[in-house]
Amino acid sequence: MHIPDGFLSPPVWAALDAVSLPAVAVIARRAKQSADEGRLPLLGVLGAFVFAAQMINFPVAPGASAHLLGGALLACTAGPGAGVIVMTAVLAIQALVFQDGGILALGANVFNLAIAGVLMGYLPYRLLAGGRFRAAGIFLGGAASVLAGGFLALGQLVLSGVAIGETVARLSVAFFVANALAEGLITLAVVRALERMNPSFVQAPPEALRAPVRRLGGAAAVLAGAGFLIASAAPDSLETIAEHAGIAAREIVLLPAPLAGYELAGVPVDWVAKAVAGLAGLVLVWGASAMAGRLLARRSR
Amino acid sequence: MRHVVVDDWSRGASPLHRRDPRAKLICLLVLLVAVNVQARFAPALLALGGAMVAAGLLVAGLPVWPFLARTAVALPFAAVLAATVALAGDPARAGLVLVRSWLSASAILLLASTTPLPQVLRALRAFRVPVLLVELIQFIHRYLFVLAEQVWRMRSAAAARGGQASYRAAAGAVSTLFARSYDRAERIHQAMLARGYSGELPVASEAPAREADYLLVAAVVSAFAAVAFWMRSCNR
Repeated sequence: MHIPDGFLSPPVWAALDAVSLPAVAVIARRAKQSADEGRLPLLGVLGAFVFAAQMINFPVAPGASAHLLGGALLACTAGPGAGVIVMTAVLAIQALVFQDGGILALGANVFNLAIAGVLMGYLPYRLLAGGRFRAAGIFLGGAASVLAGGFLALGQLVLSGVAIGETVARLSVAFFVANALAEGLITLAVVRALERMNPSFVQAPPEALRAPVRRLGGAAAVLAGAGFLIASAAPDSLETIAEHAGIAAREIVLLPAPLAGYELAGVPVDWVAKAVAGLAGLVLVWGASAMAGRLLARRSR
Repeated sequence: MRHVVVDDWSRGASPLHRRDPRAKLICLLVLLVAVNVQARFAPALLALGGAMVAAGLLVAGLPVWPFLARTAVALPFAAVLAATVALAGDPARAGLVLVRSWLSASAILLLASTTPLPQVLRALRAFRVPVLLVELIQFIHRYLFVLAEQVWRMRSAAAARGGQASYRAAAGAVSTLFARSYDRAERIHQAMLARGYSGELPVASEAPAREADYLLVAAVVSAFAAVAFWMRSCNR
């Protein structure tokens, strides 16, 4: 089930609506320009399949079930741009016709599943598709899309003031991991089946990134996600000097930040809070740099 | 499929059904925002929202118990979150979460039950939602029926041949299902192109908004504004 109305607080859902809706509009315009007319039936059928797949619940623990998301599948078959739009269409149908997910919360669900889910599903595939580890790329894409969507939703609930106790947090993490593994395996199986049927169904990956770029990306992800394990917890030199000089008390916080102190506040499981913050920051910086690079390249022409 | 009933309901002819879908969409958004805003006088807004949904239900002539049964579908999920919040020591907030999500779901169902999906999509287009998204919603919604029909046919064919349910058989069935659905969708698309489909389904005639539509929006907005101002002045 997707986040219904009434779960998130107004600043959270309003901010996500303000971010997601323009993003979808921009992506839709670009996808419309680049896609040819013949792809619409494929996108429609993929959307219907993802919809049907999301209705199938499988047990992940006694008393709890999870369902497939399909973000990585869309990324591999329709491409990231069209995949975002197809997933948004599926979420809109679910909200409007099936009351699965709220209308005000549609921005949040679109951000978690259609934008983050599809793009995080595409990223490992894009990085690994050219080489020997293609299957691993598809599997990791499925897993990453579920983990991204799940942790984002959890973070939004925490930001809305829902107190998540430690047991609930650990249970949620366990469910997300189980769901992620299942999604990875099923995405891989479905993509393979589609390829055998008709190779043009699956998005041919653009030319593989050079090995140094891939290794750098992999190292960055590991450092951001797990680097805190080897990091020192003592304050850094600037903070220490500020303490000693007595000016640390002059710090003013102008705007409350969601990931203050490189931690996701409110999650009682410490390593989750740090890992999520690190990876979120990595994705944000990567996204901003990629967009800036594109803008600059366009200007210089 | 379950939602076919909602499809039937949406083709009624009550005064609410005949309102412009753009007006109904604006009213829905106003109601959702009013109900989901956090304020000390939230219960008053919630009560007003509930009264509006009930009034809409009566005017539209929808069957009450089936309608309520459908709104209750999201309740278990909301109950779990409400329980988490209540156990963390905030039972008032837990109650608010439950009531808000149930009321919001009812309002959305009311729109879906009084407005056929093509009209809702036309209203979305009027609000500048991208063409690609609206067309995909339209296609996917219809393909769900195509898919369901294919599944039903394959299952009866398999049963007629004494088929056994197994994971391998299911995987093969899903692949075949995809291939057949895609072929059919492709043929439909080619047929549409041959008949001049240019990327957007044309509309026969855009009925202009009538006074009743403006009145509906004005009534909803002023009711919420009035209650909000009255409660604020009462609390001073």
